[in-house]
Amino acid sequence: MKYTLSALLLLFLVSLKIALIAGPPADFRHDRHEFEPRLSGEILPPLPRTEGSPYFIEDWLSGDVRLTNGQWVTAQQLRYNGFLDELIWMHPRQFVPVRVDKNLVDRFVLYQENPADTFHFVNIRINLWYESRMLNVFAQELYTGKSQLVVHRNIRQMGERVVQDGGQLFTRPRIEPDPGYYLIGPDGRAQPIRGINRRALLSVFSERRSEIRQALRQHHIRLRSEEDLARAIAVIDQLNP
Amino acid sequence: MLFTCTLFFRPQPIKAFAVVRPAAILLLLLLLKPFSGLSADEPEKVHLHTDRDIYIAGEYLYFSARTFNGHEPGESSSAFLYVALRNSQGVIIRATLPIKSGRSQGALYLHDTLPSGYYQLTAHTQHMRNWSQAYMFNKQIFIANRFDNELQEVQPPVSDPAQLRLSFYPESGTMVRGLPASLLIRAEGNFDAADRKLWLLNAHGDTLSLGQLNERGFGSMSFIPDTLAPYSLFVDGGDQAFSLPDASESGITMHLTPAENNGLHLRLMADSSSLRLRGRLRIYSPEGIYQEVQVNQQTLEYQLSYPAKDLPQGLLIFAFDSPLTEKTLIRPWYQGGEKNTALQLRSSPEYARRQKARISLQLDTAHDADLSVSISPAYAHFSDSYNAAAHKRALYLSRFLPLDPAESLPLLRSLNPSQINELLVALVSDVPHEQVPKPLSRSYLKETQGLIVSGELIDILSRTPLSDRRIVLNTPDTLINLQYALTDTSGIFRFLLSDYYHDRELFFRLDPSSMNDSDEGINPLLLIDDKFSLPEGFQAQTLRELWIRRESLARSQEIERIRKSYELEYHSFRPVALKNTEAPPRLYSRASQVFRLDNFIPLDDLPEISREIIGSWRIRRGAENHVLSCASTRTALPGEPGLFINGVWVSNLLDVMDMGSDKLHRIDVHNLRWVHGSMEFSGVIGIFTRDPHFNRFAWNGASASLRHIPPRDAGFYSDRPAGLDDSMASLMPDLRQTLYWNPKLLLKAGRENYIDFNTSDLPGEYIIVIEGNDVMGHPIRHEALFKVN
Repeated sequence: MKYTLSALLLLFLVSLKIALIAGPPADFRHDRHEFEPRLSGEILPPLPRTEGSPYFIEDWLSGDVRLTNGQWVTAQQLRYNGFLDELIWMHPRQFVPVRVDKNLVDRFVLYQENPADTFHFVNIRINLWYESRMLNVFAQELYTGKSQLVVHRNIRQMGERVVQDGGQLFTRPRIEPDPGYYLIGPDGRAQPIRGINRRALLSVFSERRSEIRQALRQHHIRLRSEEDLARAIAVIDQLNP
Repeated sequence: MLFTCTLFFRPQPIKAFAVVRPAAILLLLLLLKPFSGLSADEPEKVHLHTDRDIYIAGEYLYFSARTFNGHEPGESSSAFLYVALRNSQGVIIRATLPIKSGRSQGALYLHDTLPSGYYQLTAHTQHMRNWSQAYMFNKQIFIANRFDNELQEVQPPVSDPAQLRLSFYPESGTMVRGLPASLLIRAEGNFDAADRKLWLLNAHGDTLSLGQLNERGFGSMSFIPDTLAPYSLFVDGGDQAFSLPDASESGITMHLTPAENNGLHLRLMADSSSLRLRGRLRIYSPEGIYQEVQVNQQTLEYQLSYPAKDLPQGLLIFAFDSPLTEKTLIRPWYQGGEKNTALQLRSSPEYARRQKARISLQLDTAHDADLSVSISPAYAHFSDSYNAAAHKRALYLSRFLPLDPAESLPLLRSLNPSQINELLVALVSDVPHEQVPKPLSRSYLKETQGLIVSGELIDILSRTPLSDRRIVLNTPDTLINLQYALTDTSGIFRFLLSDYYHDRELFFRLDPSSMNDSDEGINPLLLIDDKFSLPEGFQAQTLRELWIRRESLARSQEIERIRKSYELEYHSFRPVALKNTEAPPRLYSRASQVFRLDNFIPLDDLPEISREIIGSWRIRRGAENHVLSCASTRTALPGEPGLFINGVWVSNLLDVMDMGSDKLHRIDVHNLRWVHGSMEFSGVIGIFTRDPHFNRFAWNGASASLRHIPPRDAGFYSDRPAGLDDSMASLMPDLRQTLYWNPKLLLKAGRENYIDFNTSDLPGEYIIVIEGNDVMGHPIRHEALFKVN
């Protein structure tokens, strides 16, 4: 009887301990989101319909945004509109798309289910050939080392297409991706790489052509894709300047 | 009060389950122990070392602070410390200080106008406000106004013999006729019991024992009760005889006495009616039963000696059960012997005035030490001024003894281990239960990343909290800045303030759009939390020793008067560069349109400016409303735009309606449907006045404002008057009362370290107080006296 009582007491105390351990965490640190800043932007008016998607990824993706003051806004529904070159945010309460104030955004990250497919975009200043002044654009990071390879996921109007909708004829802009690659040196200056080919790449490093050609040959890099270009920049980064 | 409430004699009859009780207690202790390790609910602690305890208004009070977690030495994680000086009326001086690696330091200027009296120095982190105020640091000091010749606050202690009350606490709760008894006596009431003599007389008037009360009113006595009861106790200066509790005719007594080298001697005795002494002795420590001894003596006495090495450090409870007695004898004992790091100090016993002096310090340890050092007049230190080691000891004991920390901490932290053991005679308790301090609230977050300002939104009438309402914060600036917080279920909101907000006026507003339809009849009130407010007020305790030191105090007042007349200030400030590096939380980066009114012809008022210059903004005079046309659609935006004057959100245009180009500098028009988090604006109008101090920010609803004072450099002690070079200083009298203050002295182990200082023109007795810990956390405390002739 005595042992039964002791066993019951032990069982009760062990249960009590487990219950206490499993209780809510007794921490006085603030909730992760409590002091997070907020995104600002314009409620996007309806956009004209286009032939082709203006978005880099059509679906809304979960993402984080780092503001220019260094603070992060996390777990937002985001997508990048390459036609407007704007970060679009789905307002979590009103469920309307919001064009995030670009000048307040330093960078943003779009997450996909596969962590390897995470897209990092940075707000950089570049000189577009069709613009007379420097512009702030969002560009996706492909490689970051001593230098940085980014791609501006630009979507450009390539023409117009007349479509019939509800018995009426409409003209819709025909848009297509027109990516622009930029190499950002340690000094922060962005140099365009006009295409994914060896000649375009070597033209950026005009004084080190033979050295780089030899290095690419040594590493068996043939420039056919963005991945090849990123590998090539990584190899060049390893060479002494 | 402490003893009447919590330290009481409690008989412990043996009950039916007494057999299984030790096992159950042990099990409970073993199971409960890991809980404290897991808990993140430990209040932080802070200890301040001040240069003195007695000051003259017009001087600086210097302090060095150490923070630690739980009851173990270590660093706390809060980044800010709040130090305040208060009297019974409220907080008078407040200072916010940064904490780096568990250390902080500062100085408080004691204003010339402070009236003479007792004050309390308090220190806490915001995190500590979740627990009882007892866990915060507080220390009573005395400040004399230098013009106060009467010093009415320094009065001889009032003694009314009729009000003297005595309480008696027999050791282990028993007194048995014919056996030696040890008695703790406590004097209370409006009677100056300090250092009074005691006489114990029997029924025949024979003196059985003599004793003396100490300065806290405690005394002890040993005697052998016999049949000549009742016993009467007399106190020197008292007018009555106090009767002792009756001794029982039979039973057992237990006595603990300190032995050599921090050891312990236990003595159990049974009365002559018993044939032999038998029973079970158990020694509990907070970890469980430390030792169990079956006592089965053929004699009536049993003795045990424990060398220090055989006893665990900390609280021990000796419990003896015997079939010869109905109750369990209990005697708590604090086994000291903390690993105090010894410090060898070499100083001359005497110095001349204005002499260069040197003190040599050497650590008796292999570890470096982080110390604070003060050299100040000996009279300016209270005798029971507690130190960091005693503070930690008191925190430890309050954790394991069934005492209210609010009452026990102030008493225990001024005692050494042997004084503690004298008092523990009165505590008759079961076993040391670990009591992890329970938070009273969870409102106050740890300020680890920055200063947090918090507040509460309530309904004025019902005082109920209003949850899920939006509180907006902005500050006057040339940029429109805004951040908001939502109230939680307790109506509490918080903002983490970057250094952008330093030294700015903060405006908090309840966003009316966050009120619900069901809020009709609710009258919201927005309250900003005062970080220095403490729930319990300060009640001064008159110190008897101050009366003895009144002449020294009067001399200090005179010195301070002369120092002020010479305008000598022994305190300097470092040049501090303004640091506002962080960007404001902006509502938008660039307004759609910016109108600088200097670029246009002067206009008389705002409606005219909007009509003639802006166009997209229309103000309807009379109705006093206004609308914006959208920049992208050219249609009127729904509702009124958000209106900001000098960066602060306001309700209406009334205060700026009549302002023309002569008073207005710039108008930003951001005519887009704009969102900021969950807030939506039908465009934004930013009006900036030419007067940067314009502060009429009308708001129809709950609002509050405060000036945000960031941590500042409090300056530092200097032995040369500020603004004077060496040659000039040599011509002036040196009227420093504090000869040396170093809040952070890093002492290297294994070598001699030196402190150099200069004596002043003031002769007298000075005390060197060195306090701190080595890098392993072992406390260091050293005091030494010297004279300046």
